[in-house]
Amino acid sequence: MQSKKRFFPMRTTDVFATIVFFGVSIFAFTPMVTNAMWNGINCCSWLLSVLVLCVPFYNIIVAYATQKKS
Amino acid sequence: MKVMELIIVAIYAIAMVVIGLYFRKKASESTSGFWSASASVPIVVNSFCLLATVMSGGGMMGNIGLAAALGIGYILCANLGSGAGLGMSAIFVAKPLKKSGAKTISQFIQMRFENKAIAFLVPIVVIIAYTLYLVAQMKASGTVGEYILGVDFNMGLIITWIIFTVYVMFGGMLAVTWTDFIQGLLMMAVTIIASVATLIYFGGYSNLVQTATDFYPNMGILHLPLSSYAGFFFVWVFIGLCSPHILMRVGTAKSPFAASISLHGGMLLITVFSILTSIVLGMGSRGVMGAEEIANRDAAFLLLIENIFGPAMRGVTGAAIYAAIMSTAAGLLLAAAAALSNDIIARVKTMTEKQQTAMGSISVLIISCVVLAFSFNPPEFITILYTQAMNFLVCCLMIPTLAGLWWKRATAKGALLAILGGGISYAILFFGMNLPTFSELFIAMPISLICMIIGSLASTPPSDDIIMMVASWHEE
Repeated sequence: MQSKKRFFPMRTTDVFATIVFFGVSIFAFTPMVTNAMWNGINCCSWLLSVLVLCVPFYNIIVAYATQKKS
Repeated sequence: MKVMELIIVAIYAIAMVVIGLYFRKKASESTSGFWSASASVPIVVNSFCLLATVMSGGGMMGNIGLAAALGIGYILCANLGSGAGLGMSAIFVAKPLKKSGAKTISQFIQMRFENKAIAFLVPIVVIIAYTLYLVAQMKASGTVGEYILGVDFNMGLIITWIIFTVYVMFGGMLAVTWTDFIQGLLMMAVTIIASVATLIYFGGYSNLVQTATDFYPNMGILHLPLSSYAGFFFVWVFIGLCSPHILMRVGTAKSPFAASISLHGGMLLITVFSILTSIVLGMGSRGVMGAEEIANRDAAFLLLIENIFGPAMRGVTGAAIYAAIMSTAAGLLLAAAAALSNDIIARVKTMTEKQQTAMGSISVLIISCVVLAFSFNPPEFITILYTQAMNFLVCCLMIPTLAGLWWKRATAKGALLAILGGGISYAILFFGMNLPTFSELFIAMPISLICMIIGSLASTPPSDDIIMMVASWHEE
């Protein structure tokens, strides 16, 4: 018998990573961020660079930790 | 003709062909061997393959030219988006796709949504989008031939075409994997060396920024409509979620865990590569261009290396650019050939395993010949051409792929409507309206989603067997 839930479950860590990723990346395109500059480059570019560098580290650590636990 | 550069590129090219021929026997033994390297590829190898596959002739050359011409922000958005797309793919697609056993996105969609119209529509979308993407890579190869080797544009194009067609045709995914690995290492090494050389040439980062900004004041500013930047970023994020040539890498991994880690590793490599090419090499290219424009903006990086490198390193850089072109072209060609061979021809003609692998090789040749025919008169910006082609693919396939994996109520009729709604609305917006570049996504994607929801809710729910099948793909 099918579960009543409409969607297949996703891991909490994945949900968290997705929300943070889209939240920060959308925020990066707001005028407040796109108009600000640092070291000759707009802050949108800096923020996206930091975000996209951090996300894989987080996900790799979580994946190995989950693998070790199971 | 530039002799030293020609010798170095020739050595590289011969090595690629030898690898293709080396794997010929193993690739022809089974369809698993030809299309997914028998699911035996280690994580580190796959991560560098993803770097090479995603970062094409555009990544190594066209993007740097775009940064020099239109400012860093534009291309950095695309490059970072493409890296982020792999991370999203690892979260949303990798594990269930690997567990499903599907070797291509077309196969997966057909497993989830059993529908004859979808079975033909999806491979046709893939073949159209990838043919355009391949044409863009061919342009890059002709440009490299002219500037680095001193040969005619068409000659450079034909030489590249012969090399990657041979190793893909004979070696399949095994050859593509090991050539991609070498190419990924070469691309990253040259990018790091060129970045260091550029910083030394200009006397440090501050001087580099000052010089580039003096010649082009918009260098670090987002001066185009914001929707273009956001569109460029998000289209590449979404491409990672449904792109056949990227998702075929999932099939080559040893396990769902390995597939996921490979994608994250690829994301990390692409991000480092993107920052160095877009910022350092983009500004460096503008620094040597001066305030003038050059006839072929995609050649801006080649102007930079003329100034910072001697003949030997120019040859190695030429090899790295060819590596970038061929690695992506090989992956695209294999994915398009899989769509033609497995998803169209195999449906109308029953074949043995050996006949299927032979048909795979023939499909590679057919697609390759069509691409060559279109390549002799290409448009101006490589990156914009192939991004729009992938924009079309995303608007058609992303919603059905994600809905099929995560929404229990998704049906075949919903998926068919989503493909048609997304594709047709994109075409109307692209050809019929004058929207900021890449912003068609923000209209066509919601239309695809609405079609998916309405079509699914208005049709019979999927059977318990299908739901249990998908549930098993999500199990730990």
